[in-house]
Amino acid sequence: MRHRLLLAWRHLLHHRIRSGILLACLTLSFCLPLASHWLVREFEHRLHSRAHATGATPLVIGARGSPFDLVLHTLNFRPLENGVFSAAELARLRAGGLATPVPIYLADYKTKRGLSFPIVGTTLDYFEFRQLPLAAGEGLVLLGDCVLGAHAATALQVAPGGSITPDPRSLADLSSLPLKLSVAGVLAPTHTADDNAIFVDLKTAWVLAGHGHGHDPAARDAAVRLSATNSNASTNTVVFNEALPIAARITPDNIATFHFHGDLAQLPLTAIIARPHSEMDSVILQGDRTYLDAKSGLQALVPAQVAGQMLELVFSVKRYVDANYIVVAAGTLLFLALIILLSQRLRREEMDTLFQLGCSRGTMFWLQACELLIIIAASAVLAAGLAWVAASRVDQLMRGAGL
Amino acid sequence: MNTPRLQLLLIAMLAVALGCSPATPQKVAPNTATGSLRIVAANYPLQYFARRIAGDLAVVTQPAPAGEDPSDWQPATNQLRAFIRDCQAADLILLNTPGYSRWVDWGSLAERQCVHTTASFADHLVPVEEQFRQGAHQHGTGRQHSHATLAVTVWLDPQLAIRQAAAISAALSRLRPAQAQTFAANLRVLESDLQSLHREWTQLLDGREAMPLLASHPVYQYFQKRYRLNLQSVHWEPDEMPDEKEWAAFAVLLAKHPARWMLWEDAPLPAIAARLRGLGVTPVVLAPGFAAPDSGDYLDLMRRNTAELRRALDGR
Repeated sequence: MRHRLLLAWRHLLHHRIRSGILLACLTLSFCLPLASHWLVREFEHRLHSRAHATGATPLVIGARGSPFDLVLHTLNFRPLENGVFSAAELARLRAGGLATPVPIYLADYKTKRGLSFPIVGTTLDYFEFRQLPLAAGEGLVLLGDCVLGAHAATALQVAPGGSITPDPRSLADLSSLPLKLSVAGVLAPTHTADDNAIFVDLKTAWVLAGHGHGHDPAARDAAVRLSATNSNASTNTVVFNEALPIAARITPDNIATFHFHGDLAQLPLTAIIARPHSEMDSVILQGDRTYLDAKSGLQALVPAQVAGQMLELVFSVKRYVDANYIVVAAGTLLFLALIILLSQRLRREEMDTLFQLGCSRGTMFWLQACELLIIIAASAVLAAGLAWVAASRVDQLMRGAGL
Repeated sequence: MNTPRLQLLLIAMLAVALGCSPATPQKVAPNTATGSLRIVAANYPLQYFARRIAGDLAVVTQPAPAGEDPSDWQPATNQLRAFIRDCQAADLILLNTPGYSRWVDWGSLAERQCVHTTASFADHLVPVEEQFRQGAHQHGTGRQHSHATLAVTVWLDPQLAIRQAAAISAALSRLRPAQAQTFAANLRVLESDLQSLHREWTQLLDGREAMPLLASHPVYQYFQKRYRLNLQSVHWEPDEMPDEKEWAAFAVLLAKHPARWMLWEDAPLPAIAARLRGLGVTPVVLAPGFAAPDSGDYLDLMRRNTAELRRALDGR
């Protein structure tokens, strides 16, 4: 057998171009279905891995647009371009008393090393809702605190007591200034999007986005003295202007100076996870005119239903793709058969010579079979390698799609 | 496998399982199924309403020290983190109007525990008059403070106070469904008391809508709105003599708005009262009840207010 393989190998090497073309054709024929199969499997796996989160998330409220985008971006912390709405909806939900609203405001933080982490502005309800266990430190307490997902903490190389300074240029609002965040805690790994997130209080997220700021008390006191000595100014008025230095870190000493410009109800949110108090409340909420009226600009979605629709769509596409592969596979087989037949003709003289040298018909069959086996095996290995390379890029692809 | 080996293996597996379990969960929602509920109220009226509704089922605290206006109070800087942690451990945090308790904006609190008692009637909240909506200021040696953009003394309108109480009762019922009937029954009694107060004030103030009234501080907006009072406010403190400039402005106001009574949060200094009487204005104490009264409870305080008002207006 070893000799047959050696002869077959030598023959293939001798006809390099022909062998190369055959190898390339078979590799591509194997690679495409393999890569798309892995891609679909990965997509399915990711949807299922978030199935708990998806199924456990009763309602997602957000700006009107693609339901898939809203649900996937909310559950996987991908900021939605132009997908924000005003926090007035949060107040409306509170007033309605039908659900506990969990606000989400997302921003993307890209480090200088090119790493990307979502900054998730939310309330403590999110941690309770997802039952996220802490691996170290404590939860969010004061404005300016942050809690890191397990992977984010490892990648950023910080621990509780440390700090990070998200670069405002990486955030949506260019008017924001650097604000140092104190790392209060690190979450235990959950193998979900939570691992990659930097969690902050909603108000901290708004400060990071430039909707509010604070001043150093010393600078503020100077402003007070300035106003007090100004004969034209009322002694009851504190003069603030853009020259007053903005605090770069929120501390208990300067926290009282932090303020938002404008009405809090007008500040942006990416989504609200609503947790209705009962099944009836959920039905009433879904039937709310605000979410049904296209003019309101808002929609309320049941993530499990949206994920189900998405999987249905993926599987129906996959059925078409699978049918296509059957046709491609049949074509490839016919193509192989043609090659074998043609090579039989081309190699008739060679085979006759071998026969006259005393080689049996069986040996000649096995020689050709070995050549084919080597080509098939090599193309299978190459196809698997190429598919693996493609699959390794899937993560980037899926994250881009909000998965 | 023999039995001792099996036991050893089971113990080892259990040890591994326990060793691999995650650290203490973060701020897991307090166990609200049993035991006394812990409630933090933003001010005394909310504390009183919660106590009336929850009875012995809850311990209701109010963080501001006795006698201090909770809307001005803020935790000491070095205790802020501990204070917020303490609030995070509470089952409920009863909030008044938006922006009333500034410390709420400084810490991370769960929506689950926050009861926005005025959220259901946000459209009825009254903005503070422009001239009082200035930056931080202080009176004499008092603590520096600023007025919120929304008037805060919601409870001086008993109808709105009832809605605040209803929000508290609903939150308690969600937390302890088994005691929902008790909370509802207690709410009905409280509602009856507040309705009775409303009837008394209506009887007292009905027909006096055109009568000019003055207030020493801009804190009676909801009282004024409910009973359609012709009331104008200045910005004086009971324990601080206004300067001559303020008295001059007051004289101008009095000429345009000839009031015979001036409402005060607390009894003004005798010198202020005497000078007011000299101008034909009688000071009347109508305590808003930000903080717990020295004696009695919220309703006692409101009854004293009623008696004081009646004595002044009816001359009794």
